[in-house]
Amino acid sequence: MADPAVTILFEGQPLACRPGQSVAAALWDHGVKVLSHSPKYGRPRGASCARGHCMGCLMRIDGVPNVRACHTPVHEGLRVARQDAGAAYGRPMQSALSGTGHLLPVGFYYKWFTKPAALSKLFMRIIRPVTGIGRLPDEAAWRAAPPPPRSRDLGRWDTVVVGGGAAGMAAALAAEGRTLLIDDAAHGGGQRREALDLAAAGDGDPLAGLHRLRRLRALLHERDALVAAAPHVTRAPSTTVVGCYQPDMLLLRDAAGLSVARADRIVWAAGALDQLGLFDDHDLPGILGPRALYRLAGRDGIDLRGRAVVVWGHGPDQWLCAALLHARGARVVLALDPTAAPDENALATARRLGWQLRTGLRPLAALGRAGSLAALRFDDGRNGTRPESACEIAVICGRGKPVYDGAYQLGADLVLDPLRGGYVPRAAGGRWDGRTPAGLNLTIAGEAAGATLADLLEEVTA
Amino acid sequence: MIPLPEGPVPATADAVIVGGGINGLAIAYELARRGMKRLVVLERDYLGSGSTGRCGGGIRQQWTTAENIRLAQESVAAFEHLAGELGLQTFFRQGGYLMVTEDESHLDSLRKAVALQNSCQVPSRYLEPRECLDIVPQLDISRLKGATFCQKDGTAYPFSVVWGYAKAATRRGVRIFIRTRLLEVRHDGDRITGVLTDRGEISTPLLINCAGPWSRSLAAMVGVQLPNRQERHEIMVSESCKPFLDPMVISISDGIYFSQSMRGEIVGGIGDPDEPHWDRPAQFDTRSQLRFAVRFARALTAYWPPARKLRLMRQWAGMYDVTPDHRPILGGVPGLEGYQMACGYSGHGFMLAPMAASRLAKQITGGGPDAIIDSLSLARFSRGDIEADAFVVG
Amino acid sequence: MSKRILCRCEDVTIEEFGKAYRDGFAEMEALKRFTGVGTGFCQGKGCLCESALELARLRGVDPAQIPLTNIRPPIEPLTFEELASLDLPPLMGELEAALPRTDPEVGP
Repeated sequence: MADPAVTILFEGQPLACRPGQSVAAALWDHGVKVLSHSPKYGRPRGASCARGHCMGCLMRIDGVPNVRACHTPVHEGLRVARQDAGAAYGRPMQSALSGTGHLLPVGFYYKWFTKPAALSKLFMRIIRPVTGIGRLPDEAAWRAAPPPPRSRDLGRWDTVVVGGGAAGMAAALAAEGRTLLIDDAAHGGGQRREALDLAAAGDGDPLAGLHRLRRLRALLHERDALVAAAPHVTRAPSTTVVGCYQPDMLLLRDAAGLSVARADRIVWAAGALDQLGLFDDHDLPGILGPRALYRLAGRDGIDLRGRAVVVWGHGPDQWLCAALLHARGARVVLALDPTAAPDENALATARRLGWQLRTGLRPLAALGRAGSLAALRFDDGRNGTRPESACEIAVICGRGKPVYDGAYQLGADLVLDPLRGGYVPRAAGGRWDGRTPAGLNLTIAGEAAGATLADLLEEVTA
Repeated sequence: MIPLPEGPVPATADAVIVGGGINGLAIAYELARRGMKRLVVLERDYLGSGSTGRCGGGIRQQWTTAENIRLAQESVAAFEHLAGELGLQTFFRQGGYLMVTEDESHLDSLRKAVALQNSCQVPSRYLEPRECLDIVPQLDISRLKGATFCQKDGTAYPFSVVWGYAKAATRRGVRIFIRTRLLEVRHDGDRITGVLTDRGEISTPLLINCAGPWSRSLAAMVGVQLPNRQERHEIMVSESCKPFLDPMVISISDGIYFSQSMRGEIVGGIGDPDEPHWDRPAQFDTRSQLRFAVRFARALTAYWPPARKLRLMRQWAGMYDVTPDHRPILGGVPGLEGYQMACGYSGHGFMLAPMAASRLAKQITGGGPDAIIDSLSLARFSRGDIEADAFVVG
Repeated sequence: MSKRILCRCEDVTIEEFGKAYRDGFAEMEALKRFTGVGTGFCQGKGCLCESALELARLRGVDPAQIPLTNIRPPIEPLTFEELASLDLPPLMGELEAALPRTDPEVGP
């Protein structure tokens, strides 16, 4: 970092970092990838989703427990420390438990020492200190801190669109009446827009041969411009929907605090979450999904120069990740899933930019060193061979998992469909368009309805 | 342990218990323990899905009527050994109950309640506000006028207790059918003869109504009018922290209660005087409201300021089955053979059920009359023999 | 020691989930509370879908037959001081008064 402007204290040690970065990204740049340990087995964890959904980055920040380091911007003098989840009797004890999982079977606390009553009571006393993640907030943190700003009422809208990606922007443009478009990114176009812009600006024009991504970028820019010019659309950038309450209420959070909006019609286009698959030790710090990478390599700008990064998977996100990583100076290893079917232009781009290309692989296990990722081990479909690829980061680009919580809470009827990535609208064709039992007009669209980026690109190309 | 429904229900049973919450399962277990065979429990959804699994898990003996104190006292004694008896932890922990008030006018009844409780050998005591700090160090006592405390009160994990009863009952031959609906009750004049479910018909001479908030409509199916009304109450859990709070804290001024679970979460709720009451199941509404979260957050941060920086993780709602005197309805109905009930717990079914079930089962299996069951019979309302319990919170 | 973690928040491996299923916690609502999947900090964002798929596999049924477990509000953890900063919203009944509504089917 050329001109560090902010110093934070990590477990007492001063670290220089860039203003605007998240705490998780700042720690990453200083080589601190293990941000927490899991409660039962004491497994190392790090910023994994980078979107505030997982618990990998829960840390004690400024005297408050369980704060998401990936969502907390650095400020001068910020104090951050790892927590001691589960480790009431020390980490060695946890490691012992981890090695002897069969001695500590799932739900053991339900079954052990139920009698006599005195032993049961003692057992409760022994396990209680193990539970819980953080310690209570420091007195200074709750007594002296000013109260949060009063919430705002954003009033009633004809339409509120949740999600500013391709589907959300299309819905906002098509909506009638006063429309509010909510997205957690600072700019229009959703999470991929920034990644595409950064990739396009990379050395050697990584997007030059990646035609589908270029089309996606053009589409996002075009819709963004149309939304900006649409008089009926009001944007709420850098805003997250933190709660949905029936019949028609959305609870929102931005830098200024909470606000409430209600609507006659809600379009749920909140996209998808990264799905990392269930291979061995996939929870090691350093294993990310594409959406986490867009955040960490985009807005957070972690230092990737010279780092070996394996990008495994299939579909457009894999190529966008590779292009973004290339633009950020990483050494890219493209590991293609057996189902991946890249076109000749894409393969030519990989060769031109010097990306290492490996094909026909599925991840089998993550291999760690000092608590974070050192290599990814693959199954190449042949008996006996288990090729490995050394890497500091592995980006797993599988099918996204539709975000369904808010739509469910508003009353949508959903069904589990693995072919569409998770919980999706029951209605045929994937879209959900209709009234909830409480009477709200609700539409589910885009990746949240089970579509993929590839589907969208096909639609656009057609 | 938690059986999946398989095939049709049996054609005959010696008793059909409606409701797979703590009441239905505890009664099934107690009946089986006393030698009854061919018992069937029907549950419309999953075990504990009605009110038991939605409750805060509190168990207290600080009541204002002798019957409630007595039942609660026996239940506490039962909870002390229940894990061993059922073969599953209940996570029963006697961290005590601290009952506080901000209202000068409550002090007299608090003192009277302590006297009554002490006369029943419940070791509660009256506290001045500053003495509360010995129990909950960061409590904001500036608005408190007085409190009572009983160390022997505590909490348990409702699902674990439900599973424990289910496991112990199943081991004794009870058949539990989850995701099974009761459609009709067959009766021949003044005698129960069977039930029709969506998994088939069961011929039975005994129907036990443990249907919680649905008990009123089930009773109506056999022509019994219950005075119960159903209230919606919401509850929440916070993120998980290392142990910091031993007792359950409840306020009889504004109806907030909160404790810390064995997992480290704050578990708590608050009543809403503006909530409408319901009188038919089709209106039951267990969706979550933002209004509850706001009311709870305001009250919690006022009583216990460190919570300002802690987080609410999830919230849900459940139904109270409330009687005019806030005490349960136990036993049968004169003139209707083969009908028994254990309902109307008014928000306190979890804590009172173990002993109510045991007493009711004893009476059903020929153990003779029971003074407490008699005093809690439906007939008390027509006799006009009612004394309401004052300490209903949540 | 290498593990295949199904639920990160509560450290539940896929093998442990299967063991709980074989122990008799045969349906999602009980599995969720017995093993802890879906009840941790992420509130199921990382594991509920995966757990339901695994349960469908264990039972040998179509995933669509696994009833959807309740996902309760809020979507992200909210501090009590943030919540206390909100104006008191009206009761749900008042909010709904203006909207047409069908009662969900409920019975004993």
